[in-house]
Amino acid sequence: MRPRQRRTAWLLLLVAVIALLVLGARSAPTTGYSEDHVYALASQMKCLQCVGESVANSQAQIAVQMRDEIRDRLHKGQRDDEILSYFADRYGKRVLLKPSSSGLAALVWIVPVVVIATAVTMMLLTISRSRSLRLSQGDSSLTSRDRELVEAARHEHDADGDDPDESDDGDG
Amino acid sequence: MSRRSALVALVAAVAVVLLIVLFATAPTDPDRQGADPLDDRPAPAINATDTAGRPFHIDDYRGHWLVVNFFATWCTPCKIEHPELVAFSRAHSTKGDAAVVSIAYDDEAPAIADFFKKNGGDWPVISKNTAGISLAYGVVKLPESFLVDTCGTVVHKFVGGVTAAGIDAEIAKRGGGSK
Repeated sequence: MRPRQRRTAWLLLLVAVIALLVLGARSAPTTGYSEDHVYALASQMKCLQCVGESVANSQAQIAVQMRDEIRDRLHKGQRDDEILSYFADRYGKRVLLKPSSSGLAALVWIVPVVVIATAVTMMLLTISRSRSLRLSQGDSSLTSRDRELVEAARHEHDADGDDPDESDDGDG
Repeated sequence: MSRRSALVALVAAVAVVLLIVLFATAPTDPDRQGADPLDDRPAPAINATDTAGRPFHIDDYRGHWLVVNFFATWCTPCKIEHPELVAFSRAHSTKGDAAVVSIAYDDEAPAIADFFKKNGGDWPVISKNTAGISLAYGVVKLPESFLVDTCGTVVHKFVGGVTAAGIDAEIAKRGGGSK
């Protein structure tokens, strides 16, 4: 595969990965009401009476009540963020499984992006450096016979180049 | 190690140390310091009918201190705290400056009537459609009680049981309950 084709393939792969990540990270639809929507919102909240369970998965009384409340609020046309805020106002931010994107908690989102970006940049730099190194070392793979051939060809070229000048001088 | 590798390692080490210092010195989340999200906020509305069939509106208690108590007859710590609520209610019933309302959590009216008959207490008890009230107050584990001041603001949350002296102390702290 040629370098240009390879670069295009990598670019396409990168675009595909980003597209899949964006699709995967998309939250539930913000309007409308369905059990999937209730489940999607409930899965963003922690069951405070349980260990390691979300409101979506727990059968604890409080989780059942919270799902009913979500259902009721969606039925009334409230938005996802309004519903999450309602519970965060009552139970504190600890009820939310998704870390806040403001203040110090924002580092949870920023640090991985910075680390990945740095890693990708360093990887590209390394690849680029190794490629240029390979190109510069290309001469070392020539044999002495190759070098002699190149030298001879150069001499021949130089000689061919000189003749016309000499003949021009001779004519003039 | 090349000079460039050393530089990268140094930058990474500084970044890690900075993050550790940042997290170690950051203010603790108020949720984890015992503060309740409802503190200093208006008490969520309670408009219901008590077990005796009388209407109950929290706004009718403006001008009085109100203890909003979440309990269940099947909850052992609730049984333990109940005499304290009875003592608090009796002490303030003559002065008329404070009252109690109980919100039953996942309980039945006959069990509640039996509980109050055995253990005392004559304050309003709400037993129907209480899930919404529990969620509005952010109740997690029973018993939990909220002290509402004379202006209708939640000023303190008691988790795991109250004592009459404890409630009085919270009222006194805010300049109320003079004897």
